Amino acid sequence: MRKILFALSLIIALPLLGTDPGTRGPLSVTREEYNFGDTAFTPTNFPGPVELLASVHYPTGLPGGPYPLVVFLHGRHATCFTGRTGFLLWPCSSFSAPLLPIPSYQGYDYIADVLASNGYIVVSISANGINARDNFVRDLGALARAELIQKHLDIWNGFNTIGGAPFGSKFVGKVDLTRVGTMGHSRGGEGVVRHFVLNQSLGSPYGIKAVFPLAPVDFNRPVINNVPLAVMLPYCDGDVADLQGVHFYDDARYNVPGDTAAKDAVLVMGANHNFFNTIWTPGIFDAASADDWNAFVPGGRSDPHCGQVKGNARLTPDQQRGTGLAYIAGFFRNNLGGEDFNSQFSGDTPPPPSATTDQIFLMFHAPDAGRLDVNRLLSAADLTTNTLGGAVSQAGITPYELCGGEAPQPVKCLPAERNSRQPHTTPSARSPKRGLSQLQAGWSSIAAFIDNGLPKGTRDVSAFHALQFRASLNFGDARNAVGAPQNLTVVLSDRKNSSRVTVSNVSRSLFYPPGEKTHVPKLLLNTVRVPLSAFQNIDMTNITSVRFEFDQTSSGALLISDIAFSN
Amino acid sequence: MPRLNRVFVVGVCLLLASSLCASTLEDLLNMPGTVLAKGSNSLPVGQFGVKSYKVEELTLSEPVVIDGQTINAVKAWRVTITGGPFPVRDQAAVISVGGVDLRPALEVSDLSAVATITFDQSMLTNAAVITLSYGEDTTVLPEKLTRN
Repeated sequence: MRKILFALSLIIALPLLGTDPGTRGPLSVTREEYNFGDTAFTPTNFPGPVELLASVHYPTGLPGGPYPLVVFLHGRHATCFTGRTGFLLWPCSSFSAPLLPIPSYQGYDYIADVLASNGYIVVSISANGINARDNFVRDLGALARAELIQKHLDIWNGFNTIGGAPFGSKFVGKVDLTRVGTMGHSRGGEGVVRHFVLNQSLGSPYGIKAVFPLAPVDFNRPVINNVPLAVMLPYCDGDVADLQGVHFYDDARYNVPGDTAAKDAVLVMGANHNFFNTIWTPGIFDAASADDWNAFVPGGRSDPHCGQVKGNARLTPDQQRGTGLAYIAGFFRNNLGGEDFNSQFSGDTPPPPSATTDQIFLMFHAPDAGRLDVNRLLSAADLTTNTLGGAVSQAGITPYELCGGEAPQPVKCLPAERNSRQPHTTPSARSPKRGLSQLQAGWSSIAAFIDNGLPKGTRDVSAFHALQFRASLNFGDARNAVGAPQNLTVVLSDRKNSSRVTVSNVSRSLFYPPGEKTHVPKLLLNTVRVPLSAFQNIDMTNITSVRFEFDQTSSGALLISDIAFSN
Repeated sequence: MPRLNRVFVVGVCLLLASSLCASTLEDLLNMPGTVLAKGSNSLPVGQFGVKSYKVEELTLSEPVVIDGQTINAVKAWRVTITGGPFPVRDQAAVISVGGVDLRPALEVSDLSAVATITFDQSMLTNAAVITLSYGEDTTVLPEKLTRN
């Protein structure tokens, strides 16, 4: 009876506490670990055995349940240490002097604790054995990481059904393996995407319902669909400096018809690669830890945004962990727990207080059923006839051409710039795939416009919440004043009237990308989302055109993609 | 190892169908080799304190298994760049010789060097430029390759 009352109180309390997903919930949390040895598992064709070791956070006493399971996987880092010195080998005991393992898997305990207090079981896996040898295999460890996750899920299937050491029967019936979420950091980020593919290839024995790559590599370009995906991109990443993980988002958008899942990318200004993991953060764990931007990027320290210059915009480690907490916890609570944090991910509401900063920008792609694509801007034909079959016209737009997508488009939009400054088209180490098709558009007159007509049969957009598109200010075009944001007017017309909304009144996405050293500034096409409620005196059941008027600045240049009505 | 001995070893391994007779890339990184070229710079250069290089020829007595594929090579070459300590990063370290990227390098245990293996020595020529890259961050070694 006590347990039932507790479960009921939890059900009542959770929605009330749900305004900020980064806050602790009502449950107390127990942390334990399991360890089946440093050489307990050998992934397929991997040149050495790896450990089966993980931390577990769960609601103390496990009242109620079964609970959704969230799996964390860290990325590539030194594996062993003594004093402040890091080493790379596995197992650590194979070295000639005494070494201890670096507990990278403990670096996300701050997120695991919050999730567990809200009714989740969180397992964070150690992957030092993979890190020690993954450069020996062609996919740089993606499959090995995927198999390691699957192995741990198999272990949890055992804990949930028959029990087993070291937990006995504690978790029997307490784990909901139809509601599993995965978060992977850096190489672990590609690992969780590759794992989704692996699990699917095995007949989906586990219900992977949410995938979150954090500052990920995307060496092999696996693509996943029909599962909620959120990619977090730290603007000042000094390790995966080209933010290649944005390909996970870009590649998935139109990959399969009828895609049931939303995709998000979360750009965190001022964040580096390492501070999301406490064990990789100097001052918390000193062996082999570094501020990657300042340690790895040539000339990086003198960058005004990402470096150490007075007035820089870098987040402190605490602040950065806040952003990770707010969006990782929010993502899983939204997609596994049935709470509603959708507006946080669409950008309709600002970042929650736990994120500690409002310098967060989003890319948001609604499920197919929640979108009406006006112009995907994928091929040259889209420059004259849009995705709906409507006419596309323009005046005063120079250039007016596509770049970055499939041939014959140029591979890069800014040929003279580093790949790391244009992540959407950065090449992949193990895949020839191209990048995001973007409309390169510039203007030198306030009379310039681009107009997309909506043909009959497509004009009722009243079921949608917003008109949105993705755009980045083109810092490579001198028509943009250095440091100044861009702006334009979006005009919706019906058969009688037009209604205008100035983008700067509803979106901050057209900012001038900050930084000037090495890997910054960056082109990143964030979503500009204009609520349909902002358009006045217009018949949303009979919209005839969507027009971008470049009348807010005398000249400028943008890269644009993905024009759609969206929920 | 004389050619006949190698043929014998390979033949026995094939008969046993055993991977016990095969080497791994890790074995090749650790086995002794014959030095073909070696620099002498001791002043650290660039972001990662790169110092010098060594090219060694490895004589293989057994097949090498990489990614589940067996390579029946007689020779391999190991290229090592010293300096550091080299960070263990997500972005792979890539050694390039004469403009040719070799397979991703691995940091040695104490992070004082990164090394890679190639089964093609065509780029290991005199005066070849050697670089170490992580993505687009490239350090050019102060010495060009000079064979003994």
